[in-house]
Amino acid sequence: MKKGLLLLISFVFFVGIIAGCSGGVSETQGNEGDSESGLSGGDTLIVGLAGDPQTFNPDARADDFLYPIAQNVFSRLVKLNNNQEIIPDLAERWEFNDDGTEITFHLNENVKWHDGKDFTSADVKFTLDSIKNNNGYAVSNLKSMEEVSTPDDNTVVIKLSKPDATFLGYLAWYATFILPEHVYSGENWDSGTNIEPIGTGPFKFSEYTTSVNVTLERNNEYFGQVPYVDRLVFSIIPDPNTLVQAFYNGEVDIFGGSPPSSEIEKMKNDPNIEGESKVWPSRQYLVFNFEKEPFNQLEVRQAIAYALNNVEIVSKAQKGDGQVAEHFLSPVYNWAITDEYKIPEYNPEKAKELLEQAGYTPDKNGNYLNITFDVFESGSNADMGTVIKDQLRQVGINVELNILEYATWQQKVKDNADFEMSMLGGYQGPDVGSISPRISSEGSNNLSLYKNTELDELLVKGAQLVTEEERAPIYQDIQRILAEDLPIYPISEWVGYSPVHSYVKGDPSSDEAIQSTGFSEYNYVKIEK
Amino acid sequence: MGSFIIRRSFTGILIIFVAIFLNFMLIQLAPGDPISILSGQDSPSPEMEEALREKYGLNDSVGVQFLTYLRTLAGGDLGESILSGRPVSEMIGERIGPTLMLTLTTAILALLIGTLLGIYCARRPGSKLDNLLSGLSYLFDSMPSFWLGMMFILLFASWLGIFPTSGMVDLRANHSGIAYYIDVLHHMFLPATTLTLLSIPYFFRITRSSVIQVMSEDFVTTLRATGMSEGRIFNKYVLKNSILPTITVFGITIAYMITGVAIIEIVFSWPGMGSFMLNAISRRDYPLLMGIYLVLSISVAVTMIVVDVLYAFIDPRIRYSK
Repeated sequence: MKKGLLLLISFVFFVGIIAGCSGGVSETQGNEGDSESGLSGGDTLIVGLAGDPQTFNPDARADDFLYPIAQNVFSRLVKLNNNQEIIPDLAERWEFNDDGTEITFHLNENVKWHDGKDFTSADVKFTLDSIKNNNGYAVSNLKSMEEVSTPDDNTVVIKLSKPDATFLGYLAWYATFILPEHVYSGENWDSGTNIEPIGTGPFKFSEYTTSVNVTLERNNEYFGQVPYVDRLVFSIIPDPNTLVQAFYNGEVDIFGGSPPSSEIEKMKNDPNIEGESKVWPSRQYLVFNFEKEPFNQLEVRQAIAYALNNVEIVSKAQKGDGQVAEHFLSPVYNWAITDEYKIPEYNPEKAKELLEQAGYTPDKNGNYLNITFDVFESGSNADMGTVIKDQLRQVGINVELNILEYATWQQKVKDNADFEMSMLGGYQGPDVGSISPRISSEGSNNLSLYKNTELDELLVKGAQLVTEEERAPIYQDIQRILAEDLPIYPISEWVGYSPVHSYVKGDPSSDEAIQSTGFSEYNYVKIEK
Repeated sequence: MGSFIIRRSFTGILIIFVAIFLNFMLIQLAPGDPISILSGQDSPSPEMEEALREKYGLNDSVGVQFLTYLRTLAGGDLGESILSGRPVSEMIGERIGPTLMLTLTTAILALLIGTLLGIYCARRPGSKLDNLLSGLSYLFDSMPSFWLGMMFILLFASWLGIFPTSGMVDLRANHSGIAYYIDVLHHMFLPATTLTLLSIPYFFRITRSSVIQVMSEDFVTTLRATGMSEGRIFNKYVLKNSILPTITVFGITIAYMITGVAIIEIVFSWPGMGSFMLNAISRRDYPLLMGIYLVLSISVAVTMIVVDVLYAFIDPRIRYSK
């Protein structure tokens, strides 16, 4: 009996393996011959990745799981370094014409695609034209681009319909990677992960196994800093808690993104883990529905601003991944910030006064007002909502907090504007003017439905000027309007913390790399065990 | 027997069609829109959204969309994922292997271990081992799967360090040949053990109670009165009569095998249908979800037919009564 059982169990294992392996396990894509050469015993760097890339065209659609891979495989004309500054990439230098409507990019010479073909200005034109013609993700950001011309193989001239200070920043940010025309033309533009990504970046694509890994190899022909490690492997681990354990256990060298906020303090105290905290141009803020009672009244919005204590919200709900917001624009663009129009100081008495001014009287429970507050489930949103609810209760505003799944929230708040107060976050870079879609009258992300023509004109004007000295007064004026009208109420700045094991040197937030690489570029990384 | 199978197959096909219709409508009823989700909250791109909506026919009415879907389906095409633009059948094909490997192994292990323990305890009801195993079965039955999985990771991977935390292969080692299969087994141990421990209680309890019930029936008493040995009574008469419920439970386990272990797969980063399906749900990737549900409903229908036929084969009363 016992022997039979043992036999059966081993048979079952056998059947299982056969069933599994004949299915998807060994199904890899790409040239496997290349990946064999990575076995030479050189260093492998493993980075965590929270999900499968959806496509291997970084410009066709928004894909946050491809973005870290794309930064290592592809190059842009210019790129953002880890200090959010614009630095050269494929373009070694560039200049604007006098009225700011034309940018001439001088490209690095002798750059080769990963398949050995020459990179030329024609590829740049192909990429930018394709983004425009195929409605790639960056099409809205690059709206002012009128024409791309290529006087010679190493020069690209972009003509703008109007001066646009935000243009270069957007070109350096997302979904603007330069692609080879001989690979991505025609049907291949939007073909998911069926295409082998060919770029000019520091690493070459080697293989992708669904839900397991994406492997890249060093590109010895890279025109910039050639990577130190032989192989760069993105290990796909969707559960954040599992990723935390895999990182602690050394199966992942670089966490790749921010860990859950509950783990940050432990990681910071661990002598074997390093990582810098950096404030990002990404913030959490409240939005108010201007087309509905009670938030169409200024006094009510002001009352909320006085009733909330950002210090307490951040310390209770955002341990380690938040910094208290004090201004109406992101402090990353400190040249544009003025202390004259700060977020109101916490003052609960003032809040009650304002509510009375607005004509509200307390009911028998001491409540002036009942409001609903819709937030979507993500990160510390729910915790923040709970603290806000509690703070508002103390000034007599009774909050019904709805924590919704993202898709539901999106339909209710964003599409149908069926809400009173809500909360939004997300990236507001790469330029201070990138806040425009969130506050301008026709902005695609203007959830408050706020309309102010003076503000619209200032936003347009601010984007057309070039130097920071010229632009600063405009953005200070914008802060005045935001402080007066309160279409948004900023709560906190997002603090990015990307932990690495201490044997990893040269990660994107280290001194040697921070000026030269983006948030997820690993060509400066050395493993020193 | 032949007409029985035909009748059952006909019902199965009908069920699949009803499932397709219901799934389509339910998915469309859920709030949210795949294209806006794709565009994100940072800096949504209205031009890209409009182009993609047009491409996937999301501006059409639900009725038109359903007919379009049926037409592509009739051509043997499951459509294209909205999020990635890849063929749905290909995406499902990539992930179904690892899931089957994990679930087939654990289902069969749980069936064997649970049933054998159940029989053993049923023949000695009230013994120390019976009490212990019954207690344990309730304990494991009530444990949340993600919690048990996480505990195993903490215990065996983080603390003892004898098993890998997650995934299916060692990405540093890059094994090939027989070493690769051993590596996969090594990675499969923790998720498989978690799943097996969680499914043993079903088989254990259903077998135990079924055997005890059959043992108390009159014909067993009669057989005992004839002086037949306990072993012979059990093997020849009791086992066959008491195994039917176990087959049902096993059938249900097999039917939901493709999607039923999503949570465990996510906890252990097992590259199967789990995270894939939950991602498709939360991002409202309609064609991909329809594809997954279609595979699921076919799998349920087919397994149910097989179980029914098996039943009829084992129990002649079912075969002849209809």
